[in-house]
Amino acid sequence: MLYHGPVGVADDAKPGKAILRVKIEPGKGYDSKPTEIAVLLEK
Amino acid sequence: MRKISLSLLLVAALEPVLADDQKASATPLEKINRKIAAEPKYQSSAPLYGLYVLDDAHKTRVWAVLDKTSPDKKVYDVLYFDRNANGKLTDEGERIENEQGSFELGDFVDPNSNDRHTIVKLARNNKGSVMFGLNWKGKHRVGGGYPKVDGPYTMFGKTAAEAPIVKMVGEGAFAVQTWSAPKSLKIGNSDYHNDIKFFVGHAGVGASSFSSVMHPFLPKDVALEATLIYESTAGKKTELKTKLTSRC
Repeated sequence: MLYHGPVGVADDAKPGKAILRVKIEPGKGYDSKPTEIAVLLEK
Repeated sequence: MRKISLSLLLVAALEPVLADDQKASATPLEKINRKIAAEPKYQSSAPLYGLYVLDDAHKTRVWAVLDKTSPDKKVYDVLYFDRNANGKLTDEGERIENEQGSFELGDFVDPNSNDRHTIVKLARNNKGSVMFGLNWKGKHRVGGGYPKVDGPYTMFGKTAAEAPIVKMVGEGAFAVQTWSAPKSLKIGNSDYHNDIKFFVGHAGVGASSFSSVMHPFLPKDVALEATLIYESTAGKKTELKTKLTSRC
């Protein structure tokens, strides 16, 4: 089973490197420490 | 073999949900005892070793060693599997043969918890990668191990010391690992181009050691939360949250 979806990137984001922090959403009974991954933003 | 155009992974252990005494005693996977108390006489000159951990406290260690019925065989058609997790591979019923290298192992009863995991299977393909799976407590399926980036599934080691460790647990402190992602994310976009797919499961030790819970065990109203941390065109550090609500 894969969990997925489109990651929103706002119009005002500067092209280049960014960080994406992913975890199971809070408040649903699953405590989690987030995973951080490097991403590249482009127009 | 899957393709990932951008290497994104960092796997972080999630906050444990063990009881306090279990938290104190759960040895880190990197440090668990790798000693095999008794091994058979292998026919192959190069048996292959893998270690599976089947509980969140890291007490139930199950060795799996691939061998051959004769030294000249191409396929590893023998599996020694520690069915009672006692550290020995010489007990009755622990030698299984299959000429395709695909081993049906039935149920596994954890000697520490009496939990019964069902439909336990291990298969090695002709490129050498191993997939192990079980139905956790007879419920959702857990499989592994998966690579962090493009590559094969678990490759067993040439010795016990080199064996990858795969944590095959369907509960507890889950980690997240990327399955696929685009080369870049489009600015001003929130559609399929920016779609990223993740596993939820447990990290192991060694290459291709992430195990994933295969079934939709998370309730439908529980999603992944992705926070994008970026610099705006105005030079301001900004965060934008998105819920990843789809499953496949």
